[in-house]
Amino acid sequence: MRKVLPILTLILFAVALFVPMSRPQPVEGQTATEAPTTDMDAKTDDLFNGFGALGTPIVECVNQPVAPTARGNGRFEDNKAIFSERETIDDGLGPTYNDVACVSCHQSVDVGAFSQEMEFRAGHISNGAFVDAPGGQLIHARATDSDIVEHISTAETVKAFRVTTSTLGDGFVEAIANSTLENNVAAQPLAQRGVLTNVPVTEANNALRHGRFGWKAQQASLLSFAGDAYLNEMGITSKFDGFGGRSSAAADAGTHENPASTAEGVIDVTFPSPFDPIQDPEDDGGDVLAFADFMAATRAPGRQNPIPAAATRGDSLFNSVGCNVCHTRTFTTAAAGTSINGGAFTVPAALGSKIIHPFSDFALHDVGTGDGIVQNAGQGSANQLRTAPLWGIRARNRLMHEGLNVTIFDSIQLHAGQATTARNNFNALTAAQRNDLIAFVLSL
Amino acid sequence: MIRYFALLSFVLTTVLVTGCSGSKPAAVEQAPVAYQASPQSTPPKIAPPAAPKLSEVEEAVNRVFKGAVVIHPDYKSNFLTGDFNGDTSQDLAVVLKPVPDKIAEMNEQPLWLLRDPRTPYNPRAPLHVEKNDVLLAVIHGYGANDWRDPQATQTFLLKNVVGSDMRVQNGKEFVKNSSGRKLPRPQGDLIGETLKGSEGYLYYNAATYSWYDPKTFTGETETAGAFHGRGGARRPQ
Repeated sequence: MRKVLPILTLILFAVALFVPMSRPQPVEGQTATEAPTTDMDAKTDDLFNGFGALGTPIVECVNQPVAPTARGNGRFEDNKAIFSERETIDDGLGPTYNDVACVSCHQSVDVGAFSQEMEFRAGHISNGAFVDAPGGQLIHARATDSDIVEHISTAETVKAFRVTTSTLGDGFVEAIANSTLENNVAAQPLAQRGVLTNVPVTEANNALRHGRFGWKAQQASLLSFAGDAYLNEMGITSKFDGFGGRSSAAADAGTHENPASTAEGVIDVTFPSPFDPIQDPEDDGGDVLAFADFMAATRAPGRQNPIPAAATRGDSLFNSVGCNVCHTRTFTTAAAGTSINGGAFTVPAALGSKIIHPFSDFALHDVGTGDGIVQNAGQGSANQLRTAPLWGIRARNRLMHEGLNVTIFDSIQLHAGQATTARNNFNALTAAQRNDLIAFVLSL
Repeated sequence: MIRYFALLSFVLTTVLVTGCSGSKPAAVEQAPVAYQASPQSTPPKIAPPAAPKLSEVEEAVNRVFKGAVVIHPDYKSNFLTGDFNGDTSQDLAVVLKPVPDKIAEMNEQPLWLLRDPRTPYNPRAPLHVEKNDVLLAVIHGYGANDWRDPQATQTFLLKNVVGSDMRVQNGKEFVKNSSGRKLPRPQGDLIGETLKGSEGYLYYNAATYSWYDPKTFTGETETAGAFHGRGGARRPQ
């Protein structure tokens, strides 16, 4: 007893000391630092932001990538390889789909960024409300069988194409707290004030969170976003998928693909139909975790370097014209240790208290370019779109949601509705000032 | 001694545990606030829009073009109003001709969107305003004051689309009266006219103005593959 008591006391002492330290604690007033950025040059190996382990590059035929089993426990290089993998029918591709890999739509100038790929959505108006096309609003461009290539009828009068967005730096965007987005929107003048969406987080039993990903801000977490894309862009089911192209996180997630909308009617193409030989769920969730963690571990798009003199001159004009009201320059992510995504994810040190410059408020606005499509933000969102984040915009040349504009100037001129004042302020600048402001945007 | 050591350890442990338990728990993100109503960017109308006066049209034209164009005197009905872009604010369509000594200025960095709805947009071959052009400007309205509002400056300047018998065609009626035909997707009202011997319509869609000729229309380029009619749902065998 004489020996046991001191030892027991020492153990108790050590445990009492260790336990509180082992749990991440958000630190009030923790000093925020600038998020690491990529130089937006595929020749430079600088995408990793420090979330999770880096690992070593995957070389086909030499080593196979290993998917994570939970968020953050994988390796960046493995996740990047899975993000870049070309899916096949044996993997569950299709029966209807848009492309064969994440990287197909998110590739230029580096893995995870932009492309010219388009997504097509359609529906019609009934009693003043938007209604999905039969079989779902998402009309896939491709199929594994010509019998189920999707077509719409002329009854579907609302049609919209959307160009794909960049995912670089999205881990930081995921780590912005709801309240931070709310405070930002609340500070906007009433006429320009954006609307934040409340959307379900699939992995948190559909707990609501402010949306921030996608043209309609229809996703709030990267896992939900990735699961939704795996189903809706590649036709691969998983427990994290949404359904019907609405990103709805349905209760029956992972059990079936979207039906095909064809000239002969809506066709159920899910297993065990002759069109789909693979049982659902086609992915056990590992791939989706890899996609989410790859995106979460990418650096934010960095500025042009060196910054041209015209862009420096245009910097202050961006604010004086009023572009920054919706294209919010700066956010600070939640502190490390903060529980987000309805409790499903804890902000890691690599993403916590980071200052980012997305040039978006992640809110919906009506700037006169609305596409008429309703996803999961109600009928009022039909003609609203999320403010396009401008970081990295210099790396793309097809602009606005339909990718039909090829100059920043025309894109500005197309801003109307809530952006009318900003456009008119731009037009009131001298020609030289307008060119400077455009140079600034193209330096982002 | 042993008792003293045990007592000291107990006190130390208690102090540590108590101190640590007072540290803040892991923060939890606040739940989002309830869904917010969308602000009205275009306030609802109280009274029907008043008929346009020539002086008001001239003022709107000058607001955008600052003396670079004049209302074309050779056209009897040289302006129309309607909600062409479907934002519930009345727009103004007006036939113009450029002022000859302002043409270079107009082509330098125009604050409007110059388009030719009858020719596919080609960024490699930018359009220019020419001396003899007959132009149709569509000035989009803003808010309750429509095209008369000082903020109403978003303008499409259209080439090669001014014909005869120009009139406004209500968008909803147009779709209703054309059921069963292959149609474009007008976002608002259309401008009907006879152009180079053909009856057709100008309409706004996908952030530009396009030309619809019912005799030759084969579908918008973005909807290749659209078809008429629809059979019943088919289940795989």
